[in-house]
Amino acid sequence: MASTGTAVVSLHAEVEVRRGTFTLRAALACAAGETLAVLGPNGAGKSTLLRALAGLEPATGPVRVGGRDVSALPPRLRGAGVVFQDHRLFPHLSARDNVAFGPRSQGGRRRDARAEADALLLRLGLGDLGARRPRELSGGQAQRVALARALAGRPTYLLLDEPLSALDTEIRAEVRGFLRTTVDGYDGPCLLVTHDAVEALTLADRILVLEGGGVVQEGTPTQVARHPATPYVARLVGLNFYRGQLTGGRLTVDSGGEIACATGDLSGRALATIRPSAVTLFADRPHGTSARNLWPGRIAVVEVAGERVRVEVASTPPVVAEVTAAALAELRVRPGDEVWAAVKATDVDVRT
Amino acid sequence: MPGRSLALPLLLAALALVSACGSSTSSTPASSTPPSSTPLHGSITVFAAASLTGSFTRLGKQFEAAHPGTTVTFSFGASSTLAQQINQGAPADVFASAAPVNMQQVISDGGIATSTDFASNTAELAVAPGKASTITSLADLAKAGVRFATCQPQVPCGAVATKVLAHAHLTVQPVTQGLDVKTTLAYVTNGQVDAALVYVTDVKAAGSSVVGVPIPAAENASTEYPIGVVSASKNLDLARAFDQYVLSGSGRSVLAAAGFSSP
Amino acid sequence: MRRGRLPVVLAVPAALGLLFLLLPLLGLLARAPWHGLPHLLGDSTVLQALRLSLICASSATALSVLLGVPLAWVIARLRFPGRRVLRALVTLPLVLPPVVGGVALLYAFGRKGVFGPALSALHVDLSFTTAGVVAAETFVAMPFLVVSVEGALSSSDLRFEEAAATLGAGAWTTFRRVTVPLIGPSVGAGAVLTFARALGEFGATITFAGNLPGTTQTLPLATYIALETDPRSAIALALLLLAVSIAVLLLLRERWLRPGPQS
Repeated sequence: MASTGTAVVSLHAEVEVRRGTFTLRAALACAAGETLAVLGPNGAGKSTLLRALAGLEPATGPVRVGGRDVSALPPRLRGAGVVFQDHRLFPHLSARDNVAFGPRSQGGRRRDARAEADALLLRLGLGDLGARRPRELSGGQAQRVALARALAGRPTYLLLDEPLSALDTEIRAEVRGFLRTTVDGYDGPCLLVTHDAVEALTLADRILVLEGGGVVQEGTPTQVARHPATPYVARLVGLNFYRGQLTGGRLTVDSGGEIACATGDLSGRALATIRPSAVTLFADRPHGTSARNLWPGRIAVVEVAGERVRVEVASTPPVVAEVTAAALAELRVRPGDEVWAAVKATDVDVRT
Repeated sequence: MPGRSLALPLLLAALALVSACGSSTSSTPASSTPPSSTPLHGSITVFAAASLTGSFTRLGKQFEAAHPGTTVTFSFGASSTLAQQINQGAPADVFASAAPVNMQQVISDGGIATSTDFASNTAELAVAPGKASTITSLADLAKAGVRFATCQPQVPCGAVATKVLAHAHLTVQPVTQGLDVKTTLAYVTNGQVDAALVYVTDVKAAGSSVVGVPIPAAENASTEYPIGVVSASKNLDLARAFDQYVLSGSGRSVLAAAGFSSP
Repeated sequence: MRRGRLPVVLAVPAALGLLFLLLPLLGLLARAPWHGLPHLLGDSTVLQALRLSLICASSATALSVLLGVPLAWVIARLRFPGRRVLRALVTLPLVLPPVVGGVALLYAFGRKGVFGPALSALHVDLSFTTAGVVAAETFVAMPFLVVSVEGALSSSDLRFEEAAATLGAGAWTTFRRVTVPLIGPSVGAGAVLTFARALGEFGATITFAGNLPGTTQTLPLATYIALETDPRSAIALALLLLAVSIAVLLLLRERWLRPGPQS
């Protein structure tokens, strides 16, 4: 899927969009061959950002594609390949003609465009779908064809707007794999908008976290997962997250409770995260444990995910523990029962 | 009311006097209604050919003035349409047609017992003032670029027009066929066409808005106007009175003034 | 949910309404001269009127589509001051009495109309011509198409047009290859309604285009005129128009039932 003939470029943008009371202000950079995931809750402005980059939303600020500012150009001249959440395949055209639409609009002849479309569909393993109409395709197939359509137009940069959100969970993984392989083979910069952490973590080279119209964190998936900057991200990646006032090795959590940390003389406002796997559960108050954090609380939720079980404890502060199914069975506890959660001070990750 | 029963015969006598002195070509003596024991009252509807619009409206007003308390309403239109309507049961009391054939339609249907001819009309070319120099005779209708109208062949004036054009050996086509003679005349006065084949009475009624081009007697055709009382009329007395009034001297003088000839 | 049971209070008016709509049609069918029908319909004037009607209605429909679709697009998609007023004006002929439309056309494009001289200079003649019939029919019928298409465009998806834009298609290409196919069904339905309305037009046609067999005497006109002289012929013509109307209705339903290209 190399964009032969087109220079391989990077994307740099500083976008500002004002819509009613909502303002979006974001700066981003995406290198050629890189996939940047824009992650955020609903209403954060992720789709707005993507649409602004595509030229579908009025915005101010430069959008530099390979050094050339395209922000003043209409969508059809920007060279962006867009995949929408609802595939938007033209209902009256076959899959082949849909894929051929881009090349034809750019001046190609019908026969050549169709041949190109067939070749691309074949390469992507969608060869037998060419003659079908969109209503004859499943959601997953349609979205795959939509990606093929975007690529057929030889875009200089790819924009994927929540491509998997509209799909059933069972096929999401499948299409995700297809996306990964296909995008890996694309030379240009690729921006993926999603609210699904797994999508972001598995597909992206770098992540941009957007909340309330602004960038709150940027980094590699590992960095973002290990050191989430906001409760949203922490929740997303499954970490326990606390904000509070730190003095002399104790963090007084804003929402209640205290956490003992190994921070020495550090003081001031701080963020603390605790990995669920670092939390140990006891049915009765343990004696002889070195953990400096011992919190009693009722079990609120038990979520089984195969061998691992996530247990939400309504202690002060509240904490999510991850234990093995066997360990939970040994405890003989059920939702509503009282347990004790123990966390070592050294397992509390603090950042000021 | 005593006053009224005296006034009627006096008025009629006066009218008889006037008509005798008038320039009438009529030889039919003015028939006067013998004084009736009950005065005329109520209202009637008169269906009359479109070409009678001006004259009959005047007659109606005169009649109402002569018989206070009576109302005469008119429905003017193409004689063929009116005949159809009467046959379908329209509430007409008197029917005045522009051609015997339409009166015959109603008589055959049983709607009217007898009719009397009261006027006659011939055709004339009504030309728009701006075209008066171009169109000075019937033959000019064949000139290139001339647009003229006639009545539709199904109505009396259309039948007359067909005859006139045939007599003149002209195979010209109008651009439109008006539904009745007044509509046809309107095409000229509105400037939609250059000329129209209508009646002499219409040309007269149109005054200065058209220029009349007379048609030589040899080429012209005429049509007789019969009038009859509808048997099913709800006010036979008044209907008959109006019928007589049209046939009377006063009726003839109004018609003559409008340009009608005697039957 | 239980099926509604018909309350008497509703049943009576409903039945009356149904009878009111059905009885005239039944009357027509009952009085139809079934035996003489083939002969009546085979008459040359009838065939002439039918041919003229079909040609004019088809032309009016084609013209309405050509002009109406872009107009609908402008109203539905462009934002400009006075858009709502324009929309109301465009749908005005829908509620305007047809004869008023005819008068308006006359004083706009007739010889004495505002644009009459301009049209004459261009050797374009509209009044009393077949072109005039098409103009009158388009005037009264085009709003049907505009309203139908405008509705589809307003509710139709900008989503697809956005997608087309990102794929490099310009406004015209998008319109041609995406918008038009998507609104196809509503254009079709609108065209059918337009055709039906154009076919049945009487008031504007007779006022603006006139009445001349073969040139401007469409089926409705011929029916009206036949009523005066030959009622049997009139009924035959009425049946013919009824048959065409039913065919149009069936065509319309077929469009509704056929699945369109919906995502």
